[in-house]
Amino acid sequence: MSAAEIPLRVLVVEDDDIAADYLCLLLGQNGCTATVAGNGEEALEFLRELRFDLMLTDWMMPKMDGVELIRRARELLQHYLHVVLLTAPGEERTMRTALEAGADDFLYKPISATQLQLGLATARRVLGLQQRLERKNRALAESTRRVRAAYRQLKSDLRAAGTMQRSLITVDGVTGFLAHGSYLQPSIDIGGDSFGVLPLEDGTFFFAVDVSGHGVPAALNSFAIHQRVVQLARSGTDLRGIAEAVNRELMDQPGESYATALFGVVATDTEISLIRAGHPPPVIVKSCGKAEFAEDGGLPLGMFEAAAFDVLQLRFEQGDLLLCYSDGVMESGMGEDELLAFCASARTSGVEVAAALGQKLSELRGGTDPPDDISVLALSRV
Amino acid sequence: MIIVDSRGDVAMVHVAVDRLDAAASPAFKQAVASQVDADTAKLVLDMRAVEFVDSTGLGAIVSLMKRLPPDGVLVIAAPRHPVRRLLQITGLDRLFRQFDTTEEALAAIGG
Repeated sequence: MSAAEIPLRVLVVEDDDIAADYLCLLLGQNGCTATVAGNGEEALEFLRELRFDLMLTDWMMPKMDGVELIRRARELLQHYLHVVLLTAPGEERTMRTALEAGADDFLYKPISATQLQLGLATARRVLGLQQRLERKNRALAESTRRVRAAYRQLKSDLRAAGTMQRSLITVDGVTGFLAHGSYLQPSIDIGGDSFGVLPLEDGTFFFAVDVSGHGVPAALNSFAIHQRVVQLARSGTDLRGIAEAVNRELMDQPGESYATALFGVVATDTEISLIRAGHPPPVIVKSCGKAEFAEDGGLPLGMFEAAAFDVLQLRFEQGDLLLCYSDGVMESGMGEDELLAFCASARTSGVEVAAALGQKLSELRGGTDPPDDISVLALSRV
Repeated sequence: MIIVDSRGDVAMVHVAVDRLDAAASPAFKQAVASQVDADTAKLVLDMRAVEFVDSTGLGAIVSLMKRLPPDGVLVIAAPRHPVRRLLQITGLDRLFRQFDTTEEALAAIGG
């Protein structure tokens, strides 16, 4: 149906019966159904009860004039009503007031058939546009509702996944010679950092991994690496074998996926064996309070097939502490010198150091989410 | 993202972002792929504008190196301290020679 054929429901507000009858006749000839109200109050009653597309109202009426009726009709109605004021030529001031009150168009009395046809054509065009706009608004509101629902679902899933990730990898306690504490703060709900401590037949194995990127892809990859490292360690693979296997498997993955990692074993009560694959150098804190970085290390995992991973041996005696951390620590605003100073002054157990560092990093960020995933694994020799 | 400037047989790639991270790296790789000739064998990466690189950014630099032919060479010019330190931590300083200025980098690889 074209705009010109839209049947309009018209409310005619006219206190003169003859004029009202004439308008109804013309409206009927132009495909409209007309209802007549003899005054403003009656018109408002009709507007409360029935739905109209167009209101044609006289200006000069007893009790309530046309301008007042328009103002009150606009206050009353939620939907669009096309409003035409019937007035006399030369009433510019009235027209301006009526426009401010909500009139859309004006017809000059006496109304001719042609004048009314032109007014109806305008009304039909505006009402057609209004209907299209309302349809689009409804579709937009529905889309927004769906997007919000999807976002809420996604956020809820991410939170649940984050909680699961934490419960899988958070390790606080004592294993063999090691008291270990940890701190994990992904940049969004889940992240690519992971770590673990597990007892083996010949010592205590620990590791920390940071997969490139953030969010779900990094978390999935990190989880897979975590499981693989645990499997390799439990099957008796040595540190170099673990690093080489993970490096090779990341190289074989489609796309580009990199990770930095630390793998270590405490097999005796005086020494720690360590491989650092691109991961930030861990801090070793001696019981006397001296703190330094264990700098020696090799390339990240997943970058080069032929990467070599050398094992570093460090003295690790009663009261010593090893702090492993991801580069998110530096991105939180703690420089390497500050980290060393923090470690040197925090001569307590791994559990307490990890918690204190987590607290300190949170303060540095002012409680906001970190720009990069942060993980800390603190190991103290008991 | 990048400005490429050919100096003889050397492609000088000026990195025009302050952070080469997970957010910027895909666009960086795409820009390199479209603006640097595939047969380029010598490349200077001018990092003077880059304040920060994360592991994804490092990966992007490594893949840039892997694009080069077997006899190709990629060097880094004017890395700032955080970038230099990251290369050191990750052992990539042994693969990517670094120079204080682009002129020194060009002179070293024969531009």
